[in-house]
Amino acid sequence: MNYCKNLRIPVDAIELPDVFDLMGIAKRIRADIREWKKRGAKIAIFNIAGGTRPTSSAALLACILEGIPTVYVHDVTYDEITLPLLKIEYTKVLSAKERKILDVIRKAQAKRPLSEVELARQFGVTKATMNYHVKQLLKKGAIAITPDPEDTRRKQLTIEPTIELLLGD
Amino acid sequence: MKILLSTFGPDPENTLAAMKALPYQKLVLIMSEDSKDTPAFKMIVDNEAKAKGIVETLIVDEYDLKDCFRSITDYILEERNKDKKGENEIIINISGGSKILGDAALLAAFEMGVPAFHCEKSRTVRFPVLRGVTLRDRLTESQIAVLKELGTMDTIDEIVERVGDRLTEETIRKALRELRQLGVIRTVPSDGKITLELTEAGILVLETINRFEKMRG
Repeated sequence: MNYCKNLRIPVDAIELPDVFDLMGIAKRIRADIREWKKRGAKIAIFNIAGGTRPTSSAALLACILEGIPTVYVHDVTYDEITLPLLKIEYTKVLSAKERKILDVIRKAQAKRPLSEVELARQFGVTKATMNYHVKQLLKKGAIAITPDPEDTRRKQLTIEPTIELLLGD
Repeated sequence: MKILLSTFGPDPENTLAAMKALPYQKLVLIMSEDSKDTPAFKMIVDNEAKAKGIVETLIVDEYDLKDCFRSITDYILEERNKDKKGENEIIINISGGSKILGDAALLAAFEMGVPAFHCEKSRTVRFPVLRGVTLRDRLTESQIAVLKELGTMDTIDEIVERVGDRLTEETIRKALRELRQLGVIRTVPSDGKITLELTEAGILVLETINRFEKMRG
């Protein structure tokens, strides 16, 4: 901080409550990036080399999700390594139908996760049609099927926790 | 077969956590040559031998991010190429070894569409990687066509001339605009003209796409 101040470079510090909570840090950095963007700021570059391992990985994840130019400034050689990142736009990696299904699964799981049959009913499609989409989402690792703890014969659909980051909210 | 790739360094705690938390039949340790001499490496090899497991090593320079990235992506591409029936499932743990190695492995996981995890003794975090969705899927066919034809210090007219037999001028200009927004190419003034060139990130993106296609034959 003093180094920057001596050079008259404006500097802000962001305090992280837990520098080992990878997903918490990723969500925080992502929210900050979005806030800066909303205010019209342009993030020229993000150096992900500092801090703990989870902090560095979380920063890399946030940059991948938000398409921020990213470098890794080598701790010893000070070489600036540019990373080959392309923003992940969920509209490109998930179809419109898949996104709608994920959204419904996500909203339902807070109360009671839906079964495949219930999901088909909500969309007004046959069980076979919904089964196709569910299989695609399972193949991509976006959702999981688990037994309902209250009725083990019933299988329920839940979204993988970190996949929510891809849905853009 | 389930293949677990795991970054590995002299402190094996996170790698051991991944071996405990994630299912695998073959373990591939991504590590530097020096790590072969560590007690941790010998312990893992001995334990896997007793359990009749398969252990392989992928030797990288764990302080050279690009070397780590290239080696890991090459390994994944080769494994996928050998696996004609699509029976193998590859996953990556990125929490072992140096920070550079971990970040390179995470980047490789996103670019190759390989499920990635950060494992510690007390928690396992799965990254939002969609299985099978690769770097190539994030670019359109016209963007890839333009990217491949980009030489050094080309003007837009020169690119249009080169790719014009396959794409309309409008499509080429749109693709160039998008590639610039993605940070893959940049404009450089030269002799009173505006020329285009690949950025450093763009060179690696193109190199990765070319390796995809080479492996596909």
